[in-house]
Amino acid sequence: MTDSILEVRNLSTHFFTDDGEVKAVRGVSFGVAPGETLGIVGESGCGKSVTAMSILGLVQRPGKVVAGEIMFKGSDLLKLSNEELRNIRGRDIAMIFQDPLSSMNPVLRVGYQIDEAMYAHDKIPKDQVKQRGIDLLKQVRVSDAERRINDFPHQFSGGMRQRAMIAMGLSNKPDLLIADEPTTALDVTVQAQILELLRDLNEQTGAAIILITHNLGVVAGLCKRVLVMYAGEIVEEGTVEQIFERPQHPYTWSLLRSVPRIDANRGHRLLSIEGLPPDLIDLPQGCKFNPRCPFRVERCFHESPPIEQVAPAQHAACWVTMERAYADMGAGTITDTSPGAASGVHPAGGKRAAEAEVPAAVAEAVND
Amino acid sequence: MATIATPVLEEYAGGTIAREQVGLWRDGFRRLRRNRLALIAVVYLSILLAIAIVAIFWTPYNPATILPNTLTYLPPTAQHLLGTDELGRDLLSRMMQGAQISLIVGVGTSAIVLTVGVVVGLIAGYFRGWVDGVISVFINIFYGIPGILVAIVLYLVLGRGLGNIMIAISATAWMDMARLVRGQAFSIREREYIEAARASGARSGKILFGHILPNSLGPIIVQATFVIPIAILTEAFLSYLGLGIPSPLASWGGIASEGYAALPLEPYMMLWPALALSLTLLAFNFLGDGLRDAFDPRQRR
Repeated sequence: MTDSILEVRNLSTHFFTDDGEVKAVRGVSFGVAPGETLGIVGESGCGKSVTAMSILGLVQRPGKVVAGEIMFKGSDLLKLSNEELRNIRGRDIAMIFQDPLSSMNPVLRVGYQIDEAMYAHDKIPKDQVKQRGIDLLKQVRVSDAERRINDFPHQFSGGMRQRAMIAMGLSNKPDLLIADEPTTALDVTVQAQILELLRDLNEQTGAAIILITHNLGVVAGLCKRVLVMYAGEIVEEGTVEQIFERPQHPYTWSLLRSVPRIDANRGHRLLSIEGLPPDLIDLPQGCKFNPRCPFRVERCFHESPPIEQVAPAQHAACWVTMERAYADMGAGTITDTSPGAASGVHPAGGKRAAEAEVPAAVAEAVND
Repeated sequence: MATIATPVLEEYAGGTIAREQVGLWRDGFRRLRRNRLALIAVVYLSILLAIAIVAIFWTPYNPATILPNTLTYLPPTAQHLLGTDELGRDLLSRMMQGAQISLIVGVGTSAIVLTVGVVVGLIAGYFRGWVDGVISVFINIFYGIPGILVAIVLYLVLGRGLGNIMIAISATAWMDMARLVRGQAFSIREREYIEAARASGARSGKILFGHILPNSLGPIIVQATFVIPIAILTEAFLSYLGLGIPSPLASWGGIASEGYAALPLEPYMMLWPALALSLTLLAFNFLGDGLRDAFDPRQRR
């Protein structure tokens, strides 16, 4: 994509700890088009947040971006000086954090904190900052904004604090808003309001949004395109319909199967993905998902699959894409695997695959 | 503590569930008001401050003048409420000036300690790495040397004077403050709102003084309060040794020193400075304790 405002290429971020090198993000590439809403999903510790922090240059020691390019408006963010990067943070790229209580300084007034983001850059004329602070608070639908702007964060409810954080993020009219688990700390009704707000703001302001979450429902509600990350890599990428209706990577498939569905039978068992995400210091050979994959074949243990196009606008990194798995199921046969062959289903996984069903309705269930 | 439930009851008497919203400051001072010892200390220190201010404009006699036709070592009389010293100077006037000197040294030293300690501590705690390494090693080396020794040597090198005595005492006293602030900065810099501030493009200076400092003000104020009595005591000690405030300026330590020589003859001259020093040190310590309790977030109600 050439028209992207953000183009991440081959990004790798490692943490050099006493126990070894934690390879938190490994060779991640993706682009964000202007005004786009992109979701990044995955389990805890799969590198979503580190990717976001890498973009903003906020990775703290012992972490370090070891390779890659982050092209934003024609310049590589990784090559900028601290001051140049500071100028982009909060001005062109803003970020919203998970816990709105701990993301606001408890001793400073809400309005002061919103204004501060504007004073830090010269985008908004100084004499308009105060008024814009109030307008922003209104825009994120905090009632009685003129008065509440002088409150302290602890006087705000969780939802209001997250609104205030969004107001802060939007204050300099950024081109890109990175929302790192913006609804995780909120209860469900407030979650829906915040998502709606983000969707409206995306339409009104034209700011692109990267939404980082482990909650597939949240992604379905806001994003047009989705990246699925596992163990520091992107394992699948596609439109939200493709990801929910025709997932091509066993990990995506497993994630979807682990979401409870309101339209499922009562007897329907939720699938939990067995095992844990791999130790990022000592990664498994071959495909990183192989220890937990129900469809693994011999090749998965030796070679790491590249990310390849599996459908228009859909990419997946898997030797045995789900397409093949479905085909096998549909044919009613489970091909026996000869070692090294990429065409079959692993005997151990085949049985589980047989009782699988495509979770197509998940998307619909959470979409509206 | 003696006062626990009353304010809460008052708030609920209004029939609202939402309690009055108060900031850190008002909350802290409200709790300080409930601490009787701290309150007494504040009253005493206010009187002392008033005396020191009055002494700028007026003392019963000139504290430095050897009064003609006046006996030395007088016990309290109507003319000389606290008596006279070995040269026939009015002790009340000298004690008033001593209060002035003590408060100037105490507050002045505290101000120096506050400035240096906070800046150094913030820098060490925020930037970490080699900056912190150098500062920490420096502080640890000086921790092995008694502060009073450093103060004496430095004061002799710098020469006598009110300003120099403050510098000499600050020379080691700032380190406790720096350590405290460094620890605060170390923990606060990891908070999410610091990351959020950084993500919104705040400059390092803004994060240091606009975010980290306001969040550690409570402990800093408490520590600064405790520096005052230490400075006053050190000054008195130096003056007692004859190394302190140059004559004829009166200092409580100096009066005590001169009074010691006359102790068998005239106990009053020793009594007044000893009493004043004890009460003042006690008051500052009670105030510091009260502030510590008031700013302790765990006691927030």
